[in-house]
Amino acid sequence: MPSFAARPPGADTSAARAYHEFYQEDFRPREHYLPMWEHIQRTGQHLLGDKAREAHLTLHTEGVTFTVYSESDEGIERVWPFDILPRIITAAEWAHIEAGLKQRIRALNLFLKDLYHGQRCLKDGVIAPALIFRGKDFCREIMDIDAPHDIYTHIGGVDLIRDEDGRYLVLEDNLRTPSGVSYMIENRIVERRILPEFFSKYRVRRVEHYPALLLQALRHLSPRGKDRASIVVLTPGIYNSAYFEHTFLAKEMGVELAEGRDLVCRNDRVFLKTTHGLQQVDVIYRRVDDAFLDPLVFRADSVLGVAGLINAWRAGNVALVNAPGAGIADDKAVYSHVPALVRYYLGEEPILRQVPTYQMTDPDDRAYVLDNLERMVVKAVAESGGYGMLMGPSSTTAQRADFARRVQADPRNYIAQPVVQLSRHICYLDGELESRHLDLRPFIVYGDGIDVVPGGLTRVAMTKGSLVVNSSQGGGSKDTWVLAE
Amino acid sequence: MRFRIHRSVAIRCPAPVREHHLEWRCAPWDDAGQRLHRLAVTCTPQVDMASHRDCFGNQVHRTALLGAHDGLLLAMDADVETLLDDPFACERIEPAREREWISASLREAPRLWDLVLHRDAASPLLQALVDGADATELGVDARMADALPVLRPGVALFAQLQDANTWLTGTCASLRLDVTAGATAEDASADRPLREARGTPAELAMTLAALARSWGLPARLVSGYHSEPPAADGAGLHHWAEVLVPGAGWRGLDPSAGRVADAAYVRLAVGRTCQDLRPLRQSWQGEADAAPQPELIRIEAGG
Repeated sequence: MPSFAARPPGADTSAARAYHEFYQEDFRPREHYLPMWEHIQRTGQHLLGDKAREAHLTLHTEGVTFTVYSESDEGIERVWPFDILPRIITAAEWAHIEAGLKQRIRALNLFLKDLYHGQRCLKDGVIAPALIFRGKDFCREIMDIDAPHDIYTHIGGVDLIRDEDGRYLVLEDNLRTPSGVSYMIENRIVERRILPEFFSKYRVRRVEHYPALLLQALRHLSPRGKDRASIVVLTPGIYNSAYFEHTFLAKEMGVELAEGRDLVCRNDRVFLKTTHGLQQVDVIYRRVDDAFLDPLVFRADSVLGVAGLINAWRAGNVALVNAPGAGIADDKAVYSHVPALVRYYLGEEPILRQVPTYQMTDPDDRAYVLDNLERMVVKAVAESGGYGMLMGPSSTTAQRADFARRVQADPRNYIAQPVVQLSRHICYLDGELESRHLDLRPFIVYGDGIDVVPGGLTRVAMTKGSLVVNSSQGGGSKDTWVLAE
Repeated sequence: MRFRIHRSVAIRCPAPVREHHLEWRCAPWDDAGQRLHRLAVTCTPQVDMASHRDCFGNQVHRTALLGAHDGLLLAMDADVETLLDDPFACERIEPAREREWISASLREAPRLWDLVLHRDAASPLLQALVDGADATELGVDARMADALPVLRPGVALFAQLQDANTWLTGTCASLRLDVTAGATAEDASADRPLREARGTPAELAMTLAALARSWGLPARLVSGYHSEPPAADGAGLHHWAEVLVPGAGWRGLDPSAGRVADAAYVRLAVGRTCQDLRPLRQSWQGEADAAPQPELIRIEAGG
């Protein structure tokens, strides 16, 4: 049995309230981490340093990168930040998460279908009309269009955190074009290559089959039948922060990667321009935002989209993944109503809890939040990637005053949540084991059925004490292991 | 009244374009208020045209020309019969029950909320005036602020809307749309009537709609034709407002003429704003820097 130092590495007490994924209350590693920990103790920590360098080098040579928009004066492309110590989730925990996510996605999908057709949820008063019709992502343009197979939320990335008691909470849903899945797979590939000895101690469930799963779901959607499915990944191009992922998925699925100008619509059908002439496209996995998808219907100045795409979708000749208009279901102001939507559409109690949310449109909520800004996280409802957000405890007076003004000017555009101490995990940073906060983004694919990939993207706030894990804000990542029974 | 309407629009491209996609909102409505007996929409050069309805119920014709071309001609012919001979005829509902009627309509068709909840540049000004803010500080014209209609409990809503319509007509000067300078109704500014006591028919209609919305009533903008030559609009289309009136349904109010819309009005498109009514949307590829320009060739609306 290895001996532990008086103060175990990475067990600082500054965020004592936060749940620790690795340590128990008495600073012994949790049971499912013991085999790994014993191995590290035996081989010595210095080996981890070599492994970490090797991992960085691998990611660098493989070209696994991410783009950070806010650091434009430096090179905008960065090597994907990766911590070699995996995060481990037990089979029992995962069963709970998986059931909760499937339930949530099923409900949100029914919600979207209803919203763009009969609006039963508004008639029955489950959700306030103002939340929908004043929501930036409600897409009037697609009212009454029937999405193929009634699926809107083909690919979901749901951000989960753990509260102080270790309970998993949904922090937000991502139903537009959630990114990160390629990094989940790359993390696994690198981890397997660098630390094969860890894997021999566990039965870790696979995540590498995600592209096959996605391909199967996309084929299922083809209006001409899955045997004749011609599929493309539609990317905004090389300047998009997730361009790496677009190329990765197209390559792994063996389908074309296209930009808007490579496609053309004729008679409500979409065609790919190839050297052999026009080739009809049945399914488009689009990574272009709604607003830019079709200049005829949405932003007329968009050069990233395809004119006529929405009409081809309307005519049922092409499937769009995810469906346009899905963004209203992950609107942060709609989020607080998701438990009610689960009960309404499914008649079930929500399996996963979520973070309490203050609506800035409610005068009482708003007054309370503005009085307590330093204890709140304020988020713009239709933003993602950690943009347009105020993290109360680490904000300056000027930032808080600025946000208070913004909230008062446009209350529908903001929500607030109490700061939840995200759970922590040990990370190997510059030769030391340090604790950092993290979250988890599992990926859900809705095709013939709903599949949750056992794993996900664990994002780590690399700055000590920070609660912001977004990759676009300089967050890091870990491989995520879901254990088989 | 029966109308034959012909409208043709030539689209000229400064340089050849290709992959030219168009959506045209040109067809008159077909509902209880007006019957569409015949409709023919064509494009020259001849290409397939399809049509669908947008979320406001407007019929949209769409087509695409993929090959290089430097212009095209769109034409619409329609026979329409308007049926609203007496716009004042409606089921009588006690003023005390009118709100209930509105609530029931909203419950039945939640999409109507979109026409209640929409906010434009006039909305905050109206709200501030009702809350007692100083008109000068807000930049609102004193003539408009002084007699701004406020909701009177116990008085029938339709009567109050007509009063508001008459007030707007009497207080605001009606402007012509300066089409020679390339102005279209889409550029209409929602708050000009409040700030300057004048506006185009579309602007006056937007103000009336904003006022009705501030009273919690579904209100929409309408574009269409009028049997007499359009009084104030040179672009070929007239604009007015429609409000959901308890016991009656949609009723048109034309603040540029101070009238309640009757069988002399032919409705073409409805929506929250002038953007929603926009007759033509297009997208193209090619060398041209400037947009292919639509030019109204001919419009005839006659009995």
